[in-house]
Amino acid sequence: MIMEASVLKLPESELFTDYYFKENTFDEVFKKNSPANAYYNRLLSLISSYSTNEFKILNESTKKSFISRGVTFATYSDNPKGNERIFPFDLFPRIIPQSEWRVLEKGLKQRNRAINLFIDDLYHDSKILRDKIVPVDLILSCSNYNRYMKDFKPTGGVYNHISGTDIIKHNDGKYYVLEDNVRCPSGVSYVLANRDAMKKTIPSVFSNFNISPVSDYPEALQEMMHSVKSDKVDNPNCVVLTPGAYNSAYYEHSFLAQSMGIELVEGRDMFTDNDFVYMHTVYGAKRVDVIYRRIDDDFIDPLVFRPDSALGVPGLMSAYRKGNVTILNAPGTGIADDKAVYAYMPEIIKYYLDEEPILNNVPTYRCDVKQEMDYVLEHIAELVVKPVDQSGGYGIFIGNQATQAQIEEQKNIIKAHPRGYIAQPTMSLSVHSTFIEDENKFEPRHIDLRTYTLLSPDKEFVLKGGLSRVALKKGNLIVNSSQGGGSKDTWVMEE
Amino acid sequence: MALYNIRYETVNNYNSPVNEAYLNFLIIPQETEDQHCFNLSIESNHKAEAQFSETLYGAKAALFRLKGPFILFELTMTVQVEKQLWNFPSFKNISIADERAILEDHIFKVKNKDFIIPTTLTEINANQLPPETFILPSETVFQYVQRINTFLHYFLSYEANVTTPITTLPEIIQLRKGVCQDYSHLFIGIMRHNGIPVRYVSGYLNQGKQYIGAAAMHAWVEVFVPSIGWLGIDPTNNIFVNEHYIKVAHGCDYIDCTTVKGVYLSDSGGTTSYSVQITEQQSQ
Repeated sequence: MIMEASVLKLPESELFTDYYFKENTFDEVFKKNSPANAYYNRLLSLISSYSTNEFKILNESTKKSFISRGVTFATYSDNPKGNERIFPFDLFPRIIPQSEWRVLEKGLKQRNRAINLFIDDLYHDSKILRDKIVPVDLILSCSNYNRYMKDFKPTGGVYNHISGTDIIKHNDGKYYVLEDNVRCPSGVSYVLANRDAMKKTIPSVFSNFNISPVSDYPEALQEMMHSVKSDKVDNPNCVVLTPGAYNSAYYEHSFLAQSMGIELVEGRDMFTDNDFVYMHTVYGAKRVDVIYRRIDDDFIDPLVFRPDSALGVPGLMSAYRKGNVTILNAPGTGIADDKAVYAYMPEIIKYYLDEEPILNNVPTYRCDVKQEMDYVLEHIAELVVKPVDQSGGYGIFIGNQATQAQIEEQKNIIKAHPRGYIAQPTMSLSVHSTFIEDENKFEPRHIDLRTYTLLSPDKEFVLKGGLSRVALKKGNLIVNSSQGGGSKDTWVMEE
Repeated sequence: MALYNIRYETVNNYNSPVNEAYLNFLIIPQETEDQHCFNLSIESNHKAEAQFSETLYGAKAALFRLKGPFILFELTMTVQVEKQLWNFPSFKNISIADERAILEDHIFKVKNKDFIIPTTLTEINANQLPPETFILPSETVFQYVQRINTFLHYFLSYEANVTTPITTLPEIIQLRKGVCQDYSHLFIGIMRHNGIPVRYVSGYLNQGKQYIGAAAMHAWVEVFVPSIGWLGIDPTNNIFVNEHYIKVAHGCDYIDCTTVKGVYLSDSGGTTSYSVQITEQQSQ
């Protein structure tokens, strides 16, 4: 390790003492045997101008600012009731040069536009299934198919209004889409909170660097919500629907409502009558036209889905199908972020847009295809196995980190329910210098990028940058915030 | 022609006053090719009018949005239903190979996907099913459907209050007991494993015939047999559905056909009871 450090040209700062190069991994900042990436030079000299002690003080004061602003989330992995935590924030921002961002942005618009057409097709003529581009059996076994969307077109024809596409940089230096999240992608509030924290802690960077702003997101979101209102209303009443204060992302729900200047409501604050939705206000009932819901499909309408749900609004689906209210994201979008469907994303893009996919897809083995399952069982030690319908990093099996007993157990799990799993080669997530509190210095840690794309009927918007999530545990490849990861401010540089 | 008088009555007593509630009823017999309704009447003790709507699969729902406070809700529906007499289905002459080809055809699957996709209540892994529940290479779908109908009739024993409408298939297989929903859900789970479209049906059963389950709302299935079309089957009674079955709704499972879905916006326990009367008028 220490020997390898000598091949890196590190800044002269004790913060970078013993910084090492991870073999077979792309380091976002440093390059083996050559100077650091030029677009990091100014930032590196700024950071290395701090002593360890000064940097620690900055780090602590940032942490406090997150707590005092209540920027928190809860995790469920170790405590079923959830622990309220701050989302660890790293002060060394990740930079995405404009040349790379332009490609990413174009690719994200293309991919999410294609996903929208795919969802629309599946709930109407299913041409892509008739033409055998995507096998019908794949959809027949998809637990997120929502029959209440059949033959129904939402206002404006938009389904995945908000998409959270997860992107990584592999050791070949190329970006790959790791997964699509088109149900209720979360995390965008941290992007804005991180930028805020950065501005407060090191204000000088923003006058010296030409960084694309992220603060236009709430405005873009609101504009998008207006764009999918019913034609019958001029000035739509838009709301954010939250499951309540116990939800892990409650901070985000209240942040979004507040920054758009609209109401944050729970199911019990609304009611339906004759296929219209209303909310209770101190002035009486007020019509609701657009609902950005942050609760799962199963819970939005107890008269249609889970009757035991107290989170939703009885009669909402009926009002929705009459076109009297817009729900975003539309119910039933989960068929598109099924990880077995992911395998077909390049074909889906070509089919609907007649374009070559701009973003790379990770090769994916479907365990419900006999030959592919055989391959997976044989090569499981070098693969990553994922459940097709889970998000948040839950249930992921990483072959090269598993014991023999865990491998055998995982094989049995796959064999019992082949459609439930896909496998992919172990992608090497890029690393980024990250301040490690226990060591008082920077070390490389794996990162990914959660991006946010908004779709209107005739416009796409991509938040410039996104949430760079960091796996804080040494060697950990799962960067999800539910799994105790942290995050970084992400800078897209203007030219 | 058979003619029925149907009466559905429900009485809901609440422990404390209810301020707001939604009650959605799927109790009105469906208009179908062989079944017609007359003189429908719905009366309740509450001033709210029924809001009628059609379900995804063409059944007629009546929704009451009740504003309180109230401690009692009573509803009575009466209707007459005229039903054509059942005949043994006529068969198209299709070979077993052709029959399988129809089921395997991807366009067929696209069209019928709602009734092939497993739902939470009809989902089961192949290795959890008894081995004799799979279709044999030498069997026609019609023979298979009959075999499973009989199999289930003996595999499960009819017993109330051991399951709920949302008991899952693995639990039912373990218990080997249940009521009409459980027979129907298990039948559906088995058929869908073999790629055969099948739907859950709720309705009324002639009470003069000593069928199992006639005292309350009943559940059965309709299965797609390539040589026939949609065929009604009642695994609880091990028979084909005939003129004694009055259909209210069909769907993917119980959730689509639930007789009463109630959502109360104030927490109030209470007692609910309902009764049905289905009497056949002597045919003219």
